[in-house]
Formats: sequence, structure tokens, C-alpha cells
Amino acid sequence: MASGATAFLGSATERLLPLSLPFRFFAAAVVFHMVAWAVLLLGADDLADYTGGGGPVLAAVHLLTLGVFVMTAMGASLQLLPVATLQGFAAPRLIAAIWWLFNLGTMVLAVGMYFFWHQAMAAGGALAGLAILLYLWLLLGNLRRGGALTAVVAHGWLAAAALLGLLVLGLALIVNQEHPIFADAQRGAVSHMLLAAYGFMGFLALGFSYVLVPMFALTQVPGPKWTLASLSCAGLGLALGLLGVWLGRDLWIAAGGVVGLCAVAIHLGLMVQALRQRMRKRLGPAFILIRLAWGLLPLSLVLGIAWALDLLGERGGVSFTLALLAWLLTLLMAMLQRIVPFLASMHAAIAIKRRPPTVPALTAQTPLSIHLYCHGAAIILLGAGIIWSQTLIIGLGALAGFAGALAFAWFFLAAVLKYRAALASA
Amino acid sequence: MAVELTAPHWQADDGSHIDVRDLPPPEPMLQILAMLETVTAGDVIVHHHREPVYLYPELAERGWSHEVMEDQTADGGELRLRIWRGAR
Repeated sequence: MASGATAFLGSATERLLPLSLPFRFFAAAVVFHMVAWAVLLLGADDLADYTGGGGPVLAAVHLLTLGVFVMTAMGASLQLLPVATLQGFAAPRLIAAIWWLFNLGTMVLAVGMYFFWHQAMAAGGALAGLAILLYLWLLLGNLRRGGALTAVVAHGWLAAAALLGLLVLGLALIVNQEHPIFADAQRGAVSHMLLAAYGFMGFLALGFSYVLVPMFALTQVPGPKWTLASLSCAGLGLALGLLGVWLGRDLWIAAGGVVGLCAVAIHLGLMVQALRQRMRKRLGPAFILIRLAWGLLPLSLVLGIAWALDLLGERGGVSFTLALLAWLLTLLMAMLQRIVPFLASMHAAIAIKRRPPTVPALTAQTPLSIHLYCHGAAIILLGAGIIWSQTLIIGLGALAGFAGALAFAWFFLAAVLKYRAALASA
Repeated sequence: MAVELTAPHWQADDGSHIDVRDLPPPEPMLQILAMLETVTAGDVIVHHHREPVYLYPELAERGWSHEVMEDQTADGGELRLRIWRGAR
């Protein structure tokens, strides 16, 4: 028996968190998803020419990155990281406290950013930062014992390091507004964004894909040799990009992007290979979004390289940021629509034993189809609106995104209600 | 079937047995599902080093039921899971 396996003992109920814990993170992400699109709709005027600073665009970005991305990452990692590390998270009260702190912090921070109110930004940043530090402590405690899937654990380590870096930079950027720290705040902001998107979320997204895609498609986990090669390239690419930003070397940033593309090529090659060997023939609509995300990730890197080399003009930064956020949002929405009914079915099977609800029975397809079309339309319209600097098109894109977010909330609520009904009727 | 059944498996009086104790995740799930595709009648007994909770949604979707027969994982032993087609 593997040494890690012996440490992962006890009944399922001892290892697994109650479903209400990961689901409260997912529920918050679903709500922040709607709010982020609504706030972007209010700030449609500012988006095309946005180059930084407070206002609705900054608030919408952080509602998305903190409220949706990090919130989902927290919920998913608390429930699914034990698959890779073979260690459970036995701290339900601390996790509940993290959820409250992080929700409150994200809301206050977003309000502060929307109205450019420094005190609210500082208070919100401090609350969210405290929640992130507590989560980081839990994450490191889980990762430090290693596990069965070394490549996934290695991704977790780099993600944790990036999370710490982006937190320090994010708080420093808030302080910088009243008490200048940075000689060039723009460099700090870009580094913060790179660490958040390609660092914390990127490493987690790549790492968890090696668990979740095989789990959902029923296929083999790619071997550690190539997954670690991809991770090495991703880490090197990010380091080069960050150094280039700090030292003002555009070629270094571009080189970092090229190395990042190598990482993506290896990762996507592994994913395509895994899908070719899958047991499940019908992958479902979630994999349409996953494939879209796989296209958006290299697109973001290409746009980032072009922006660094000043090939995109004034809207290079906002175009790159759109592709970056679209990649992560698309991937996370795809994962969430698989994870939510899967976890509900799993917990129901433990509680009910006989005839638990299946994943298809807990999945409402109509809202997911609406979300798919609205999400795709939102990305296309926002991209077109930015390129042609048309506020109306950007507004329509945000509206489509908001409609998609409403449909996704409908799907989530339906899954929760069906799960509760199954438990009640057992 | 894209996943080959490579885990140790054998036939006994109480059903078809499969031992997935040495496998990293999610290989046990894949091997058990591959085994189920080959079984035409009788129960399947799984020997595991932990309760395979992530397998349960897949079993439910395929119309199989399950019960934990024996759980000695707290003492470093194995868990035995019985799986059968339909309800009983």
C-alpha cells in the first residue's frame, strides 16, 4: 500500500467536509458572478479605454477574481484536494469563518473600488487578506504531507506561493494610494494581475485539471514527467514575465509569454491525449466550455506577448485582460457545472445508500444551455466592443453575461433543491 | 473500452473480486468501472484502502447499488465494498 494511503484513514464522513461547506463557497461565487456582470454593465462606458484606477471596472474585475475565482477555488480545493493529497480538511469552523471573512472583505473592497473610497478598500482588503492567509494556512497544512499525485501537489505549492505574492502586492497597491510605495504603481498592478491569473488561479487550474478532467471523462491521469515539465515551463514563464514587468524589459515579458505557451502546449497535449483514452463517450456541455477555455488560455498569452511588444495599440492591456478573465471564468463555470451535481450525488449516496439521485437527475440542462450561449455571446460582444470602442456593444455583452449568470444561478438552485428533496424523500 | 482491466481480480463463491488497494486516484474508480463492464451476473467485491466515495455517483448513474461490507481502515486494514446491479 502506498505510504500516503495509510494516512488517509477513517470513514468517508470523517474525510469529507459537510456538503454545506463547499456549497456555501459555490453559492457565494454564483451570487458574485451575477453582481460582477451587473457592475460591469454600470461601467460599460469606461471599459474600452480603461487603463487602471478605481471605479466600476476595477470593482467588477475584483468581484470576478475574488468573488468568483478565488471563492470557487477555495470551495473546490477544500473538497477535492484530498483526492490528490490523501488528507482531509478537519477544520469546519475555521472554514466557515474564512467564508464569512472573505465574503465581507470582498464586498467591502468592491464597494471601496466602485466609489474609489480608500478606507473601504483598506478595510475590505484587510478582511479578504486575513481570510486568504487563513485559507493559505489550511492549504499548506494539507499540501505539506505530500500525496498520491505529486504533480498536482506541486501545482498546489506554486499556487500557494503565488497567492501569498498577489496578496502582498494587492495590499501594497491599496496602501500606495495614500502613502506611495511604488515608483511605478502600474508595474505593481500588472504583477498583481499576473500572479493572480497565471499564478494562483493558473497553477490551480492546471493542477486540478489533472484530477478533474480524468474524473469527469473517466480516463487516466497523465504521468508526472510531462505534467511537471508543463509546470516548470509555466513557473519559468511567470517568473520571466514578472521580472520583465519589474525591470521594464518588454522582451523578457514576451519571452515569458512564449515559455508560458510551451507550458500550455504540453498541458493541452496531455489533456487531449487523456480524452482520447476516456471511458465516458458523451462528455456533455461542460466540455464545450472546457474546450473554449483551452482556446482562450493560449489566446491570452498571445495577446499578452503582443501587448508587451506594443503591437496592440492603446487597447492592448484591456484586450489581454479580457482574454485572461474569459479563460478563467469559462473554465471555472465548466468545472462548477460538473462539480455541483457530482458532489451532491456523492453526498446523497453516502446518506441515502439506496437509489441516490444521479448526476444527470441533479443537473438542470435548460439553464446550462442558456448560460452557454449567453456566456459565449458576452465574450464575443465584449471583445468586439473593446476593439471598436463601442459602449453599446460592451453594454450588450455585459447584459448577456448577466443573463448567463442568472441562468447559472437557476442551475445551482435547482441542484440544491433536488438534492434536498432526495434526502427528504429517503 | 479505453481503460484496460489491469488490477488483480478473481472469481470466488460470493462474487467477482477486484483489489485496487495499491492504485493512485482515480485509477481505482477506473478499474472498478472497467470490471463492472465485464461482469454479467453476481456481485462484485472491491478491496480498497479507503471508502471510494467518488465512485458512488458513477455507480448510481449505471444502476448499480453498493454497501460497505467491512471497514478496517482505521486499523490500517482494508475496506470491502459489495456492488450489485439494481436494487435489492
